[in-house]
Amino acid sequence: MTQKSSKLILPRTAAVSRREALKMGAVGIGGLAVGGSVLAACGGDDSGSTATTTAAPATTAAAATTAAPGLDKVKAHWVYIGPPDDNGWTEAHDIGRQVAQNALGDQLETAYTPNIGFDASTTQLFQQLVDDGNHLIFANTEYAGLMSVVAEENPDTFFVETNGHTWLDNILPFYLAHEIPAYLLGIAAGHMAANGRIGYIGAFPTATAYNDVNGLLLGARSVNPDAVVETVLVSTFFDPQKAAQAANALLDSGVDFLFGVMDEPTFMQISEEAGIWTGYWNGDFASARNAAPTKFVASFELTELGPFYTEQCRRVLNGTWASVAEGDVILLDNPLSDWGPNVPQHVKDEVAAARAAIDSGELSVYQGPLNDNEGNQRLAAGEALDSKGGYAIDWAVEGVSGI
Amino acid sequence: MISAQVLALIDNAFLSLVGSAIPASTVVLLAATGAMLGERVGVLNLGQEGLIGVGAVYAVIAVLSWGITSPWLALLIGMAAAALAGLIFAVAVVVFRANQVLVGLALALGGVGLSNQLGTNRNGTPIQNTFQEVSLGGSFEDGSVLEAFLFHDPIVYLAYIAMPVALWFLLFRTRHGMNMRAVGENPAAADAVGVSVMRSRLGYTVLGAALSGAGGAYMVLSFTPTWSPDIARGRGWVALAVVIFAGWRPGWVVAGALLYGSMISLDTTAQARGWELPFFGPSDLSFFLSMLPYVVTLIAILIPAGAAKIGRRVRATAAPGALAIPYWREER
Repeated sequence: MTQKSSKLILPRTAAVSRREALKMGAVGIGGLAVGGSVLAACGGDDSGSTATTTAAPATTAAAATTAAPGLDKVKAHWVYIGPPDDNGWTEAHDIGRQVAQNALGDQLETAYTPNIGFDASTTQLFQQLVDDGNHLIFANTEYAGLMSVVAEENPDTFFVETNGHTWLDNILPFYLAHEIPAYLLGIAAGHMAANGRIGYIGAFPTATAYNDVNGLLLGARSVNPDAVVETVLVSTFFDPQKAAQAANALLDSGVDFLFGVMDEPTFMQISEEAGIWTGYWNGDFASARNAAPTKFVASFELTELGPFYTEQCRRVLNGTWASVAEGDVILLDNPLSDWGPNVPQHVKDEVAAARAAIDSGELSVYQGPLNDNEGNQRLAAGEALDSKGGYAIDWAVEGVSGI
Repeated sequence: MISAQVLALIDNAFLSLVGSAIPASTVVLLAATGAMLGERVGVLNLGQEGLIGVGAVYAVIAVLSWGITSPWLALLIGMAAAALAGLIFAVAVVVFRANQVLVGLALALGGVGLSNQLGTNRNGTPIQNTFQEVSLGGSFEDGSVLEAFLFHDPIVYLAYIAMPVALWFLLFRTRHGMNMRAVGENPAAADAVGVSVMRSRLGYTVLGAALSGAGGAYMVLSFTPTWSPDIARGRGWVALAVVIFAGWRPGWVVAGALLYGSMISLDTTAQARGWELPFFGPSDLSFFLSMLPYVVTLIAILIPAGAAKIGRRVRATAAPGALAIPYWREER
């Protein structure tokens, strides 16, 4: 099946090598060269049932190992919100990309585009990546409509969107369920913040941010009923200058624990200088620990990305890739990292006990009765919200300010 | 009746705002002063955004790759790199008399691109060798008025006090300064009395570029000690607006930069303090506040324009007469 955007349509019988064909962007994804002579210029590997023809049966040297129509090589591309060397979010995703590359070797061709923001050129980029013959495109943030308009028109290219809320047959959303590590870190913060005031530097008022502040607050309140979370939103994930200003403003106003969703650890360095405990969202990086050598408490681990990316690429290879039902999402665990050097033992023990209680199902982060910070009751007594429920959350718990 | 508590709150918030606005404005102050210096001799350098980036990235490289431990030396390296970029610009527009607007835009875009390229693999790496705050008058209590004003790093004092005073004296109290202004107002007249237009324009454009580079270096050596792509993030353009707001006077550049910096600080301070605005929920407030510095900058540059309209202080706030016009000795 040729793509809508292609300018060149090959006759079905044209003898063109697969590589050339892909270069020209003339064929849809997944045409399988059979016997090296004739190219079936039609995609047929997807499970979305939009393709009308399937690849010719592989019977010769290129025989597939699985029964399902698949590919001999997957071309995958990662689109990053920031630079892949940010010592944080995007670097964690890029490490995940490398894990997939190493796991699948010659069967996978990967590339990435860094520093992609939210504007019309983003849509053009996704279109370009489709035209370049990518089978699978990963986005490490939620590009929403900027990506889905391209996905909609190119049903044979698969998209995997971090924190996505768009469901198509070819868009798979996944989510790093982090209200649990936030809750665990909140327990530590509740103990360690002398005045019970926790500062949070966020980017945008999204479910991610609500799960951060809610987890922190509920964890902290479980050990200190007077704990509060004070939020500053800076409308960006990667702007060290803004993050530093937010950190200074929060520290000036007197918070005793500083956490942030920033993609880089500058705010932790400022927290260290002010002698205030601090934690990090984006993975366990040495630079985050070095930024706050004595005041580092813990970070959220992002080590699940590598295996997840590998699995997605493998499914495209095998022809078994599929999205999830509308409203559903793939949840990845992101556990709390190893503790910083000066975290007291009783805090570590208490957090370990809470983790065990969560794992066994005894404890739930969102446990009613819960009010939001505008005074409305959101969960009645006895009600609870699981991680998938948390994924759709759009309210902050009472005790959180600034969001 | 205003209770003591409310007064204390206002006082406290004001101090927090001032304390963070002063360092936040320093970048814009240095870049605006650099731009003003060039404009005073008739050279419009729109490349501030690029010069800030070049100054910042070379300071980062000096510390992270060349093993420079002194922030002063790193600052000088950043300034030298920006001066070199400024020299290329100056040669193009002064010697070859290229269009200043076009070359300036090229410098802005090229400088940002170059610095982003050089900054690759240094993103987000913390810089440890930073300028430390020094007190300008003994020790203060935490959160006191004096601390907000008198506890900053040495670059802040140089930028806010030494530099404007020195430039004011140079421009308005020395014969050399008068010659400089003449080159900017009427280069043919200056040329006729034996002032070298080319030397003056080259020299002050390069010096101005070095100051803009110092602004970039200051960002990574003190304000937020790390490299990030597009580090200037519009501060270079704001600096150009500040020069117009200030009417090309060094003291007013300080005021303009502080106004901008206060708005930047208001963004985070207002949120951290939980201030509420009518019509805005807390999560909308963040978007409104991040827009504010640019809105205020826009309004601020309308003030001298408005003053010119109604005929007050026109001469004092008018742009140098030969701004952005190449000088040809043969032409009348």
